[in-house]
Amino acid sequence: MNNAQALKIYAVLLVLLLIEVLAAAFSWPYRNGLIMSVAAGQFALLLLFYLGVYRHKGWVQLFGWVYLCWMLVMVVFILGELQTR
Amino acid sequence: MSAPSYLHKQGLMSWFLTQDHKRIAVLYMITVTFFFFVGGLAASLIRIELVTPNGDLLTADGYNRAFTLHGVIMVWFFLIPSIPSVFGNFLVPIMIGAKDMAFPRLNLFSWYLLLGGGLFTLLALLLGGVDTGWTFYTPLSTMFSNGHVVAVICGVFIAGFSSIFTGINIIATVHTLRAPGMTWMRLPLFVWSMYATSIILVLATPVLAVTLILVAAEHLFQIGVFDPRLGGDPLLFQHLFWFYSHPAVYIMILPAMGVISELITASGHKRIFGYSFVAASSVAIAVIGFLVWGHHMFVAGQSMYASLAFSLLSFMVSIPSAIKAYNWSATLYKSDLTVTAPFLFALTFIGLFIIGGVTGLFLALLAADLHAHDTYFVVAHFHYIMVGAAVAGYFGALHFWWPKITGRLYPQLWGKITAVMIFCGFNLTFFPQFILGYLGMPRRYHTYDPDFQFLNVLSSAGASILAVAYALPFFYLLGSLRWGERAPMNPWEAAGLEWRIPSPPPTHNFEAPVIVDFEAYDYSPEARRDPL
Amino acid sequence: MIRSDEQPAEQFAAWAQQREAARLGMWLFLASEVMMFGSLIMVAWFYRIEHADGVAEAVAGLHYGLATANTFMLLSSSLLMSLALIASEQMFSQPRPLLRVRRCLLGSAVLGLLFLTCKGIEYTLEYREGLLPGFSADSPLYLPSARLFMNLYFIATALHGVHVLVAVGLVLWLWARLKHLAPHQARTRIEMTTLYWHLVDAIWIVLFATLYLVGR
Repeated sequence: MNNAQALKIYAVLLVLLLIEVLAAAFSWPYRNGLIMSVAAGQFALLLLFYLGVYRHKGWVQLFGWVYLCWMLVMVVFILGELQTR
Repeated sequence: MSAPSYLHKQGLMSWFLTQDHKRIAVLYMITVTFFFFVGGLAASLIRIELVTPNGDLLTADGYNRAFTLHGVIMVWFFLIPSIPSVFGNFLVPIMIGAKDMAFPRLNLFSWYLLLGGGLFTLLALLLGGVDTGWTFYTPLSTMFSNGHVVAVICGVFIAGFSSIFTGINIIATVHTLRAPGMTWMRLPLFVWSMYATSIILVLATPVLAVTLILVAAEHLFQIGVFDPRLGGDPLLFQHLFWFYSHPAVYIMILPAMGVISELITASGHKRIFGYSFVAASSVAIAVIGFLVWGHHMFVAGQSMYASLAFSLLSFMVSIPSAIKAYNWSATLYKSDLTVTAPFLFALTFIGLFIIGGVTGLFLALLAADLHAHDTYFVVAHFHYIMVGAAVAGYFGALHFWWPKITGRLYPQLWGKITAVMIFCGFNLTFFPQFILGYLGMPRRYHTYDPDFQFLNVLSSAGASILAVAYALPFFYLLGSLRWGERAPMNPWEAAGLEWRIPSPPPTHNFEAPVIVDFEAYDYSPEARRDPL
Repeated sequence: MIRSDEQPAEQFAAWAQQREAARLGMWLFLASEVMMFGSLIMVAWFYRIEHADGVAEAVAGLHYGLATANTFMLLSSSLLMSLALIASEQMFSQPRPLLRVRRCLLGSAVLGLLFLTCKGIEYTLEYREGLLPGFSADSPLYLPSARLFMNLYFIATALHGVHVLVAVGLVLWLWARLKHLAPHQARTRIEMTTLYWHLVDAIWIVLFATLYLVGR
């Protein structure tokens, strides 16, 4: 990664921040989903580019996906249990 | 002229400031032994109290504090660190052909964290302690307990970081410091199980950290997260707690399983049957073990659908464990067996693990758990695994690698006596508890129906045999340091890199750089003696 | 290949190996931190679903303006840390880009401290409003579940704040000691600190959305 790319990612992150704050402040339609998607997008950008995950292939990618899926399972199980009581 | 052993340098500071993984392992060994005896003392109080149906030794509250002390110390300060921090630290670098762990200073820091957390917890427990049980269920721990909840929580929190850092160290070491030629499929199975254990250590313990923070905050500031009056949910605590604590029990058993793979192959002088299956089963246990926590909450008000899912998954998690048991047995078939003390500990493990594991399946069955939950059936089940199996694994490891660690041989006969005593004493202590639970005796009560007394007396009698059996090694193992014969490089004629270096090893483990061009457990078939 | 007299630690054969081990160790630590905050965020969502009305009441009172400023500051500090890391890749060329790296590190640390200051201001405002649990007898919030969510907000942001403090400490220490570190060591430490910083930022991004914005 070079300086120009880092700055581009930063710009996108700021734009996303603006979107989510406006969505919250002005009650845009579907704002909850939009806000969480934006947050997920920012998280993904940080993860992939600043934290550098995009550079890794193979086993690292596999472990990354398994980790994320398993966290998802934890959330689904616990929130699902709550919903089905 | 060979290099001096790692034990050579003298002076207290050389121990307290060491970065040598072998010395740190010895420091851990002393620490966990101390905590084992403290937890054992609490167990003695419990078993003495339970000899009679009435509460004559301890008050109800005192009894609650005793079993809490027993659980907290044994789980977090003995079982979880025992094999990973003692034998994992000592053996993993040597078994992969490395000179030390990846992060030696972090390793030492982990020990200080365990020691600090442990002493702090012990202080809190002795200054009056906590009556909540090691499981800290809410709302008792958050709203009604008048014990030192926050102090004990702090101690456990600190010790949790010891676990996390040990896990990080082991994973990084196995990934980056394997000697040339030491591919993943040539690793000793002990390393595979330490790796799987470390995954659990790193990923599950943080959830415990957060849970403890929430309980402490609730206890101190009544934040309401588990308080129904503020909209909180006590069951959420159980979800969070067991999300860590179920994988935690796999932290306690996986390393022991790794030890058994080593003991069985060394005693049988034969390659393990189905290496890749045993290696994969360690990882499978770690993965599936994260998905079964709800089986502790079947009667807590959990949704039926969740209970169904957890019950099914709990049955599935038994499969990799069963694969290991079958493979160990198959390894012993037509092997060149030498019956040593470590071998007897391995047999103890397999026998007791099977009983414990199968009774776990009874509990995984929703309909049966309805009756067995919170009875002595559960107590017997988990003691069969955690004590019968895991502690047998720890003792087996102690007896197997003692010559390597200390450079001394101990009298085999005493080791065998201890193993047999443990097997008999253990069954006498805990088998009656299955029957008691079936008959309906609830756990965590200091009084019971007089009809249960006979079985309780049997159990306590067994406990006294166990106490002697656990104390015995203290004498002959420590005695060997003074009077034992010097150990050769490979007293068991076992395969593995640790048996190719002197006993005790030099500080940097290997004199010459290690190149691995052999498979794991490369026992030659010709070396097998003719049975006639 | 970079020729250097700098020796890696005893157990490593080369600096590349040591750096890889450090990277793996730090990533594992990050994975454990994500588990910790992930559980906390899941608890927040748990109560969002259970008590949507109480949560809405609590969220309405949160100072999201200050929080937005905080988010901007953390994102900017992440940029500066990335720039520091990129500059540090030149650590073997002459002259060493020490000034550049140190400026970026200092900038990040300052932004981190500003973050903590704003957080402190926010907590003070909330204390004055009587929202802190255990510090005021009566809460202005009507619904009990609103009070619960408010308390969760305090725990989550306080825990995060502690992590920011640690990160700032690490960066300041690095800024002070950079001149005295050998090139390989310097590069490795900058990379590890940057990874940790980005994680603290990433966690805040999710916390900000979950606590302040949704259901406003």
